Amino acid sequence: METISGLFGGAGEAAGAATAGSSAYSTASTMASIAQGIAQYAAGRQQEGLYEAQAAQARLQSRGEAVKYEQQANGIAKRALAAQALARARAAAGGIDPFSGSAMFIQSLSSQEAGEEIDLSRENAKLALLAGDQQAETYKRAGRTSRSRGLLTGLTTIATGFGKTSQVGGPVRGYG
Amino acid sequence: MAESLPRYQKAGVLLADVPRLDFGDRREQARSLSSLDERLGQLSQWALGEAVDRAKVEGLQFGADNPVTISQLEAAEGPKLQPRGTVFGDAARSIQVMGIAADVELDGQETINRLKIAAKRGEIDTTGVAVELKALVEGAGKSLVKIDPKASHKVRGALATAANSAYLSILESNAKKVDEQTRVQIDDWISNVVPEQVRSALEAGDTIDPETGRVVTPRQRIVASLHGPLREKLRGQTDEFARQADKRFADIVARERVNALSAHALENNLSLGQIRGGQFGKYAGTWREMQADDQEKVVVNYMQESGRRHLLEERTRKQGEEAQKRDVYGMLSDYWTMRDGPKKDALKRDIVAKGQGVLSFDQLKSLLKPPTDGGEGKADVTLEIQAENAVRRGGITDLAEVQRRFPGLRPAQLKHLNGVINNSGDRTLNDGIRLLAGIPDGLVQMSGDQQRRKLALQTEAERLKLEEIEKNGKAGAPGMWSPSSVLAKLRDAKDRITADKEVEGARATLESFGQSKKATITENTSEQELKRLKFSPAEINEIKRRQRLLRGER
Repeated sequence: METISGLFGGAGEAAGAATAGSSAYSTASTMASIAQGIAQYAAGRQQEGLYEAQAAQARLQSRGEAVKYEQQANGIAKRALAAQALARARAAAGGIDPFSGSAMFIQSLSSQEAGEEIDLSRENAKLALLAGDQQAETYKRAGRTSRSRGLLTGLTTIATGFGKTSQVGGPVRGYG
Repeated sequence: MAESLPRYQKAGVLLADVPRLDFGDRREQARSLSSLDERLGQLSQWALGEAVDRAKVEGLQFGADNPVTISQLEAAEGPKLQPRGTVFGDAARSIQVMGIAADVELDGQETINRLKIAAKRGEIDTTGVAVELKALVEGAGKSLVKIDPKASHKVRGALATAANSAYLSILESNAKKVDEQTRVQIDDWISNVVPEQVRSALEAGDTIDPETGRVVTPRQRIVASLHGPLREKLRGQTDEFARQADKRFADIVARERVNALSAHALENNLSLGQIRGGQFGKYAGTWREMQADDQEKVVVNYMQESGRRHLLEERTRKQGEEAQKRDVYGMLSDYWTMRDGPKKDALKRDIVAKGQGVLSFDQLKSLLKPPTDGGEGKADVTLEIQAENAVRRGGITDLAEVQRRFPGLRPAQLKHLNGVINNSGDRTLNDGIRLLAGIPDGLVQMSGDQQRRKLALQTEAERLKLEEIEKNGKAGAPGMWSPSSVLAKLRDAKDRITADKEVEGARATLESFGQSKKATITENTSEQELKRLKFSPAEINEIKRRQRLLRGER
């Protein structure tokens, strides 16, 4: 549209008119628009920073959870080994071969159950890590979007300010 | 058996729930797009506003640069009337419609003004004007209603207001004209009809009403037949005019009464005692009803007219004597040149017979002697007679001229001839006074106005004559005066002398006519000028009658 192209095309002239010779209020309005644009861009960057921090926090949190689950798995493994050791000791004390027959079966059963829980814990740890990474990525993308929005908003604010100030106008000097 | 072997006790580990992720990126994207939408919306609004504003301005400019008239619309030519529905179109159309409405209103106003002038000139009556105005207002509204009902309504309202105002102005003007015409008619009736009818009523005296059997006096008849109708005519007139009309009526009635009684007294040769005693026969009742001032006027009129008649009789007698003397002198002139004989004797007898009434015996005797050349101390009678003939017949009015043409006349003869000249001068002066007073030749019974005018002119003429005699006396010509000089001065003072109530009324009427046309009307304004001022024929006749009155014409 003519008016839009005129708006942007004439922004430089308007700026010239606004800054060169128009009233102090027009200048103040233009400066305010520029400041507002910069502030909006800065706000976007701030928001990006916030999201970056949130991403880091999410990653850390997921790491912590993963460690807890690993620890849980290790605990289970320890308890399983202790139970096996005790079972073998008792079997041996009772004159039973601990490595065969029902004694072995019981140990195998214990190992199996412990193994299931260890696997679950380790799966949980993986899940936590995965979720944490996903969340961190999400926050990073959010941060990038905030930055872009801040930039775009700031630019449009400055452009609109120039355009509106150019409508104020001033005397046209010369002849003809 | 050995105690049971320990088994691993389950810790109850379950698969963790899938953690809820915070989709901040989606949220931020949505927020960004929303912000963008808002910004773009603002930009679009602003740009549209700018476009609309510029379209309005361009539309107004286009409308002003491309005006349209009703005739162009009807003929489907010229610039196009912009359609409604767009900002540009609405703006351009509004200006074009304003132009059309202004044209229609201007045409309508011009037509209204033309109708107003035509109606005031009398070229169209009020009914015709009303019809034309109504058609104009409705026609103007109809021509615009399809284009713009609002503009049509506005123009119709403006023209209706102007038409109402014009119609009211016409009605007021007509009412004023009618009032003026009515006033003129009333003035004319009072001036022309009332005196005649008052005279008739007075002439009839007391009568008996056949219905009631009662006596009806002239005053009662005047009130019934004149004063009543006058009140009717004055209804609707201003108080000031009614007052003046009433006064004029009363003055005319009083004047006619005085005239009637004065004439009766003179005709019947009443004595002063009879007059003061009210012995006026059929006019006795009128005498009794009159005010003391009016009764005194009757007495004065009687005395003045009696004196005038006495003077007239004296003059007539003297004129007769003078005529007889002229005849005798004429006969003497023939006698002196005749040869002696029977014819001369017969002529002598005729001279004696004719001269006995106007000349003494000694005068006759001396005249019948043959003429002599006079000599020292003796007057030449023949020369005197010749000179007297020349004064009477030749119209010599100057004594110096007499002396020049007839040298040898003695002082006594010159004195006598001066008396002859003066008498001739008096006759000339009296003839001139009658002319100035507007009294036709031969009229003996004059109206009261004529008598008053003549008396006033005679008084002034006497004063001017004495003034001239005194002036000439100081200049070495005692007793000399010139009738033509006195008449010339009298003519100059005529307006001042002859200003009476009728003349004042005539002047007032002319002034009133003049004011109606914002012009000055005098007794000398020509008929052509009156026609140029658009007076009607009836009005021109009225004006001319009053002009004649002011000029002393009847």
